[in-house]
Amino acid sequence: MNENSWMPLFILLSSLVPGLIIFTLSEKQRALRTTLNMAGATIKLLLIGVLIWGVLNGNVYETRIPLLPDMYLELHADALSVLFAGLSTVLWFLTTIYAIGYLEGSSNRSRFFGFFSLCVTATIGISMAGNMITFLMFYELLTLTTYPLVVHRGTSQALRAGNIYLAFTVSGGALLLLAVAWLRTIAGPLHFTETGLLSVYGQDYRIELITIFAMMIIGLGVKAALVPLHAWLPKAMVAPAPVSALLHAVAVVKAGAFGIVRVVYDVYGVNFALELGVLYPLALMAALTIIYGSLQALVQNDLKRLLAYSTVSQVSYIALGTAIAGPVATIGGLVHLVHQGLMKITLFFCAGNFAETLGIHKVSEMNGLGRRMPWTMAAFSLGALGMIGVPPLAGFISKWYLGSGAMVNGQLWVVVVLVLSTVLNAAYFLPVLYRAWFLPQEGPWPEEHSQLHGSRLETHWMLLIPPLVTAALTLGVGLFANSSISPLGWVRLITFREYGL
Amino acid sequence: MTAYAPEFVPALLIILSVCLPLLLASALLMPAWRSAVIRVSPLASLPGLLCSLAVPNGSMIDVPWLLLKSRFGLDEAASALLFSTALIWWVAGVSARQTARRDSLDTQFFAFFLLAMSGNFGLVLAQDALSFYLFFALMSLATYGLIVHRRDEGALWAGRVYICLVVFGEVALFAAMVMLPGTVDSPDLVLDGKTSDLAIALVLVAFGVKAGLLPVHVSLPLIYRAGPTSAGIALAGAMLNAGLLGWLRFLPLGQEQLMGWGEICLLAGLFAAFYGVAVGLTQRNPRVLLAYSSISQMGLMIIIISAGFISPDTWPLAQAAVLVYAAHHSLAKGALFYGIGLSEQGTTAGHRLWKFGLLLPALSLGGLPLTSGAVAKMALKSTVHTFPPGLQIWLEFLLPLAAVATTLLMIRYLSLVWSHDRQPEQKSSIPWSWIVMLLTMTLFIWFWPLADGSASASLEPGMLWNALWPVVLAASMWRALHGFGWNRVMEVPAGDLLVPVVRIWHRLLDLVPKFRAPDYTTAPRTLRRGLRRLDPLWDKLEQGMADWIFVGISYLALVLVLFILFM
Repeated sequence: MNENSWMPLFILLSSLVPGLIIFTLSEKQRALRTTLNMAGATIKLLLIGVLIWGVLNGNVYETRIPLLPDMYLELHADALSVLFAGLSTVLWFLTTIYAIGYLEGSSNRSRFFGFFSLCVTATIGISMAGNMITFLMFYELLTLTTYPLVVHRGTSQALRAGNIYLAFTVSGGALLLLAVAWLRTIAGPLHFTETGLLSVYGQDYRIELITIFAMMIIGLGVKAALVPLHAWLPKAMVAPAPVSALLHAVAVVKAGAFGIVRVVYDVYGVNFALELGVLYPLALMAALTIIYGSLQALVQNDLKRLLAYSTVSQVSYIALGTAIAGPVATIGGLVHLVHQGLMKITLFFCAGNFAETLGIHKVSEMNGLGRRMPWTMAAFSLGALGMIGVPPLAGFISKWYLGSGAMVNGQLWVVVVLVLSTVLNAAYFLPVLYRAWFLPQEGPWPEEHSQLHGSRLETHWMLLIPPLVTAALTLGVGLFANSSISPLGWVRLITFREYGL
Repeated sequence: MTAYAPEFVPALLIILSVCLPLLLASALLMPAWRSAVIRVSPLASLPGLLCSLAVPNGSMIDVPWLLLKSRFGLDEAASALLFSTALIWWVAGVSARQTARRDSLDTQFFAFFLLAMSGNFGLVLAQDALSFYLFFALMSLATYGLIVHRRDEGALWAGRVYICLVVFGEVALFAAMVMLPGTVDSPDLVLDGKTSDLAIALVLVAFGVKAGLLPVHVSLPLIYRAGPTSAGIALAGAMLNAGLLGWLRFLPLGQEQLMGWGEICLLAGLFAAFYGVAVGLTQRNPRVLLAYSSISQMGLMIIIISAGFISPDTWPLAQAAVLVYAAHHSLAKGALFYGIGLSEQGTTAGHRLWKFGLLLPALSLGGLPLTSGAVAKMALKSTVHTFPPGLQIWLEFLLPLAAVATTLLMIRYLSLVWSHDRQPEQKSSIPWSWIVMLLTMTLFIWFWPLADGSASASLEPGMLWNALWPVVLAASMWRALHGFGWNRVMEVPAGDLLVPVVRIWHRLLDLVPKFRAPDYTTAPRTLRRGLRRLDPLWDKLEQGMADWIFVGISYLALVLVLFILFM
């Protein structure tokens, strides 16, 4: 084994080890816990940086640990895994800062940060899994480590949300497990292979492969919040804001969407999937989700619920891009993996700031907020406009490629879906911005936290910096989309490899 | 693609035209700099003005890392519109500074003002589709802040109508752009390949929202009335042309003959030319009147654009004509709007120079000989000569009537503004920016190479007479109309078509059976009303989906459904 084969393992350990140590700490060891957290996040960030550089230069990073005869725990860094791992690592770093500030003074912080680190470990495992078995293991691990975070507050509402979350994700995982086991009996170890590995079995196992595909998509669709399997997500918004960020942008829904991408591109292969005819139903399901999520978001007054439904809608852009097929749409779908993450985490950070600083949870309480918290509100506005798809923000680039990709394939109906989605996004985000910037404040804020009085900043700096950074990134990745270091540039690279161009 | 290596100064001017307003807008974030920034904000358009005067046509800069590879620079259309755009924004800036109230709302206003300005310059200078789209969106959204600045009921309603139409225009433009032929990764403005009918329709509507195309013109009268004078000057003088430029950039003009689209544009233009005047004449508010005048004038410009479909071979000539017309109209309209603002401020009360100064842009719009209007009319006429004879006859007959109608409308404008003129309370004065504006408006056309042909043609004796008689006729008609007591004629409400449409929409909503009404606060009011009635169903659906049993059943059902679909 050379250093390249240790690299993926190190990246996993950089959050696993701090996480395990944090469990053993007492509540009072705040400084040590913070140091461990930040050290883990920083080391992971550096390692991922090295990894990206290496993958760009064609290095192979692979860790293989035998589990059973002919079954390996396989970590492998290809261009696609680096996309997801990079996103998770950067956002985890920011979320850690945010969570430290957010949970200041609350109880059970060791438990929280312990699971927090495990959760990210699982996510990185998912991104770098080299075969379906490894993917499945980390996928289940993610379910289990997220549960304690969802119920962190311990209220009856939180416990109920946790139950629903478990019911959905565990049964989804079970279905996925069945499908993977079945597929293994047909096709062996299921290494993820660019351009797919199943086309040779197409002749003999057509019906089996179609059924397995359906089972896999439904299993993964739970986490990716495809309608009608999305109902756990809006319930889970009772969790603290950093957990919401984790659920919506960094880990959980992304894991589902990423899984769909893996199955379509690296297990079935996009051309083979097209040939089987399984992509069209997936596209329909994604389109339905996009519209349904937006319609639900339209009638929410609770800000976090609104954002949750917006996630339901936006994450399906990824599935849609995957399902339309063709390089251009693929670029749109994959790049949205990153873009949606940046925009949505910005919005959740901001929602958390409003709640923590002024006790604002509802849209109807946001009148005049732009004057009181201009920086947070500016970040929120960038995130919201990005979601609508206003150029030059991140969401626009995704939408542009999705729309163009659909037209390249002659699928006008997808453009209609995108147009509808844009209108609906505008219909639920613009009124929020209108309230905050153009209406005067009505009465005192619901619950203004007094310790921030007299501070020059509008809120605690640890809460303020992360949304500003992600908002700047939302602008940057769109404005500088054509530069070689942008997510778009990286996604083009992936796409060329997936299509063997 | 050819590589351009412009010299340093032109490149710098092009960049500064777009970036200086942006920089100033971001400087407003610093409380200490605010008053200084507001003071210099009219100068933000200076690089644009210099750019239009000093930078030669064909200077381009490529910005490979921006969006999906951007290009900015001057071609014929950009340089023709840049001059009037920059001048208008300068005047609008001066006017905004005059009326600034030095409160916190001012900062917000100037932030939006500078952003809209940057958007306007950016879209004029953009030489690729996505950059155009970017700055068009920036301008459209920032303008909202200008419209609602006063925060009164009218302003908020105008803002609501405006933003709905902006979103509508945005999605139409998005759909059109993904349908236009061209490469995805670096969308060029040069359209090669066939443009589908749907894409043409979408482009027409998307930019029609800005340019006052019937029937998406409804926001124009509302927003002209709602915003402060400075916003009105910018809207009427500069931003209207953004829509026009959008058409020039994205419609497949001058490529192949598309008689159907040509006739549609021609008819729409003719109709708008008279409709705008007819509704405008009933108005009591001079700002609303100017909005309808813009709709009417834009109609005349659409007639020129239809030449790009009807006689594509001579399109370069027609494009020059429409640019001359647009520049003339924008300066005249800006001056008329500024005139209203000055009278409201009262600084010019009773001033003769102000009164007679207003005559100049008003009669110029009517096409009085020796004004820029006469030259623009000449350009319009020369385009009509390229049409098939059957159409020509009709236009030869109708266009002079349009000139009569326009002049009538302008006389009505003058009578409205003059009658509001107050007695001077203190010594009145004329701001020199107004004088500069009038002088430029009068003179620029005679020094402008693009207008050379039309300018000299308009001086021929026959043409002088052709331009003169509609004005004289209109003036005498006005006397007659005035005798009939025109002021008693019913005023068509601003936004004309909008009024019945909104009423019908509310009626329709009332038809939906009523349910329990929870407090929805995010959705726009009208949408909310509809959704509220469906609420219990909605809630039940969501609750149902969260049910545990539902999870099990839905898996089974979904596997079945997908299986059947996949088969």
